[in-house]
Amino acid sequence: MQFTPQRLGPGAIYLRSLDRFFRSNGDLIKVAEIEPQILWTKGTAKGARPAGSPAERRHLANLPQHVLTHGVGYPIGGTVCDQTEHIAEFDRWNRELGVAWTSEHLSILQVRNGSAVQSCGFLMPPIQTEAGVRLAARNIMERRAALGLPFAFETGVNYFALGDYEMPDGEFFAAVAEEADCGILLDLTNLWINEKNGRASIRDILGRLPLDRVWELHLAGIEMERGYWVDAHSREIDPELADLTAEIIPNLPNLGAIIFELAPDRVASFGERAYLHEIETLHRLWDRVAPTEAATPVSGGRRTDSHPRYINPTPAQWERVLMRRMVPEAFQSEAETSYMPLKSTDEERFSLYCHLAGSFRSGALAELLGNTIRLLLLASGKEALQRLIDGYIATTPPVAFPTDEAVQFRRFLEAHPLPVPGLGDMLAFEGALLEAAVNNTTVRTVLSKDIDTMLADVAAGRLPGPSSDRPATVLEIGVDPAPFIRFAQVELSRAV
Amino acid sequence: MATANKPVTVRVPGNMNLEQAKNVLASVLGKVGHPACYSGFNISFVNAVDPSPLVLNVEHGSFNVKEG
Repeated sequence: MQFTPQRLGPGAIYLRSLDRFFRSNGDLIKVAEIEPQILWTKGTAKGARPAGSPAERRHLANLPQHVLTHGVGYPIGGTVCDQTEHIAEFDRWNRELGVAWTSEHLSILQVRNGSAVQSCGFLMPPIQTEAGVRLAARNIMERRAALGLPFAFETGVNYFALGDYEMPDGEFFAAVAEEADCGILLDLTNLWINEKNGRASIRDILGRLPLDRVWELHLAGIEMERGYWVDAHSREIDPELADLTAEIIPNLPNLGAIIFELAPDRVASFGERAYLHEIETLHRLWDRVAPTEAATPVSGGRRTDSHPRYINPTPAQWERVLMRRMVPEAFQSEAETSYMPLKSTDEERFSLYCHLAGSFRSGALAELLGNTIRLLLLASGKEALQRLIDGYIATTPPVAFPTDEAVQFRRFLEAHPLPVPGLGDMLAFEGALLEAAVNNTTVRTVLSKDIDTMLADVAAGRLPGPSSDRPATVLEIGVDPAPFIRFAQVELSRAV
Repeated sequence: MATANKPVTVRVPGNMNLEQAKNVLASVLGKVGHPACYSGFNISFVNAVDPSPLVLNVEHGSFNVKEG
């Protein structure tokens, strides 16, 4: 491989809510790293493929920054690794945005469940064995060929303790990079978290990595959850991590970008001044990058040695364990059996993973069915709502797209009706919004309450009362060419 | 109970508006994509059930956020 990344500079993960901010700070934010999949929608029809909007691509192509793409949702660490379904759309985004390289996670999101494929609901770590190296390298080479772009994998967070059957982290990352002959997106936050949680020393990892393959750094804020440091992208970069990064950067001859990451659910509480402060931190770090003329092409040498000590378990065995622990029992194929004995610490970490995955599932409901959730809160109280959500999560499988989660929750509520005034109307309204948005169709829904009065009641912390009752009205909702909601005058048929 | 289907004409009400409903639609449109790449705790549900800890710090109007 002879790819040498251009020195793009400091940047950040692009979010729609930050669009104006990125455009007005092009002098400071040099790189916009776009995660295309967070901008895509997936229709509700079975087999619908996620896709983005051509208009949004054109809008993004006018950003003042250099653009890179970072894949989410199709990681390259497991036996289930999509090389077809999303490729055409991803390729379209890469070409139209003119990206120099792209990246994805060295992680697992989907696993086999009998003859089906099932989402774990959370990015899970791969098994660090020889077979794990070969699997990841094969996935990377296929993805790179499919996209026709230089490719880097992201070093992930791993909340498990290192198993005695596993290669050390640095050795594993190095082996994958050399076997696949690819770049490394070094997420120093992830590695720092791993160190703080007692998994592996970051200096030991860096000592084993081919540092000339590091094209990009990710940095983010972390937080404590259930006794573990987690990769929450929640706040400013910790000064200790910034100091460590400053120490490391001069040793990265082919570094092309440093990216600050802030999660969408944390933007509201972060603020512009704090964000700009982080970008200034990145600039100070970027000043430590070696001069351009010192950059050296990565050697084309491929990995020749292997480590026969790290043979078992196989990736398939590990993924069966993931399926057993991350998917509710009622949805597990009976044909699947687990072959790996787990330690009590592993079980404890699986509990953490399930807790974090649950937060994404309930978060999707709060974001997409926010008024339904608030209505349930008003009617039943916080504890009862939490029990309802816990029961839902425990009895339904995780899904990849939040819209699928919302559809699934709507079905759950319809199957378990609750005596909450206005719940049916609110669920019908929010469900129709989603259907219109993801299917790009005009949706009609019949309501027996005044939706604005109901929304005002819920916002004010009141349960909808008789004042919101109305004769049946039909709302027509669509998003093309621009979002609209209007009353429709139609003829309905109803049972009398 | 009779179950025959009868046509019922639904007319557009004159005294109702949809401003809040349109705001909800606008809010949902920005959130229908795949979750972003992080492996921590998503606080959206916590904020929904207990919004008091959410402190807004929006300056110069550049951040397009309306929560709080």
